[in-house]
Amino acid sequence: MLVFKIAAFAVISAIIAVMMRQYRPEIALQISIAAGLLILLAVMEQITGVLSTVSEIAHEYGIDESGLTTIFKVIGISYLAQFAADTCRDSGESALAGKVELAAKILILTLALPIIKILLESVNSLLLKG
Amino acid sequence: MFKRMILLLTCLAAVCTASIAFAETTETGLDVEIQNGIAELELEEWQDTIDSLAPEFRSLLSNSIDQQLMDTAMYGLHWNDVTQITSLHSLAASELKAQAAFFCTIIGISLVGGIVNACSTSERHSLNKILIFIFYCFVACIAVTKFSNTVSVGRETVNAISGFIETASPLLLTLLNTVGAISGSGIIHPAMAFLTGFVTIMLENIVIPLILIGGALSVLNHFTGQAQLEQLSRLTKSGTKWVLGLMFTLYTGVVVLQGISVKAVDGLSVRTAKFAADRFIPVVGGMVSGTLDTVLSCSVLIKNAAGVTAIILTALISALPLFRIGINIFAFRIAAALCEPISDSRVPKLFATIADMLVMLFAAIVVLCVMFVITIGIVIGMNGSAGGI
Repeated sequence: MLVFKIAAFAVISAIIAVMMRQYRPEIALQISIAAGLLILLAVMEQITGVLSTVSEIAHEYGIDESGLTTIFKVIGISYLAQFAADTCRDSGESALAGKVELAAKILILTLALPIIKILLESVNSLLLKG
Repeated sequence: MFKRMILLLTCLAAVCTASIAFAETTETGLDVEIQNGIAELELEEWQDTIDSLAPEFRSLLSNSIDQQLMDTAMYGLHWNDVTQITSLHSLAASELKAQAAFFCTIIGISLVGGIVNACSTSERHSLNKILIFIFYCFVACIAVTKFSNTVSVGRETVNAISGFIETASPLLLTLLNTVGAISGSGIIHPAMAFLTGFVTIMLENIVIPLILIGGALSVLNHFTGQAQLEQLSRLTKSGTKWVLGLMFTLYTGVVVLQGISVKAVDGLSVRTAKFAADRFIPVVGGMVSGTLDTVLSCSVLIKNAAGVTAIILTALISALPLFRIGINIFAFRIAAALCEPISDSRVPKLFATIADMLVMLFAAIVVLCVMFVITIGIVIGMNGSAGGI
């Protein structure tokens, strides 16, 4: 089970980081970042599986795939930005964390603007119909 | 003994055949009379209406409108054929299947949204809000497209029913005149014109736009997460309800009251005509008034058959679109119910409001149909002579 591996790995890295923090705080931070990255990489394979299954389902039921792709991208951006922001906060750089989140928000809005535009257009056409 | 029995049997057989023959001759007489009556009518447009129905519905009726009227006049309605019910069943199933894809889409997207919502690690990330907003936009896009398509179906149906009323009314008016309900047709004529003119225009230009505006408002209402157009959205809904209710009540009230009041007048004039024929035409006067009776009763049969057929055709024209709209209402309601526990509150509220607006559309079509059916009911009730022939 992957979850056991991840749990054990996370706990061990946490212990090592705590132990190292007394002597070399900068190494402790690097350990926690590396551990976080490794955990992300470990589940990456699962994520691609989920993505392909969901887009298969979408194709089967005739869901607009471009919209779904946008949503996946948005989810990805928000998870990555959350990861980076959390790491920055852990290292005491909450201002940097805020910037990362801001950047992510802007990126997400750029991606989402077409969807919002389509929605507004369809609402407009609804009103014009009447 | 044996001879006697043979004699008895022969007598019995003779009596039986005679009675059957007698029954046949009288029925054939009525048959021919009604057939002649129907042959004189102009039924091409009715035939076109039947031809334009879905094949499953067409199988419920006779192939030609003449035959349908004849059957209805002579034997009433008889829909006991199991295969016909099965064909309707398969039609419903295929409709359900066609709508299932949309249903799955909406529920699937909302579920994905709910899962993402649940997976978001913490509340403190404002990124979650944006994610939910984008989900809302995506779901709203699909819902609005569906809503707009459904409203188009509704609009087409209103047009189709109004077109059928226009087709049916001249024939019904002619038939009303043939049974002697002259002042009755004087009432029904403006009523039908009101239905095809005023009511249809009101539905097309006020009710359906109100429904569309209500749908658009409900999308914009939940756009920001704080309901800011709630009252306006409610206003459009109650406005639609009031317009429909008022139209229905006024129309029904006026038409039914007038229908009742003219019945007696027509009855009187037909009786006067019969009496005059009986008394003032020498020698054959009695015969003429008798013939008048037969002709009138045949005309009544034809008129009632035409009325019943018109009701059936209205039902068949509106059945499929109403079924479709009904399925959509159901789909939106189910999606709202399923989304509520898992996603944020905007999506289920949007679905519920759209479902409410579609209920209004459903009601608009039903109101038009019921108004027409009530009118036909009055037409069937007018016999030209109070208290039957």
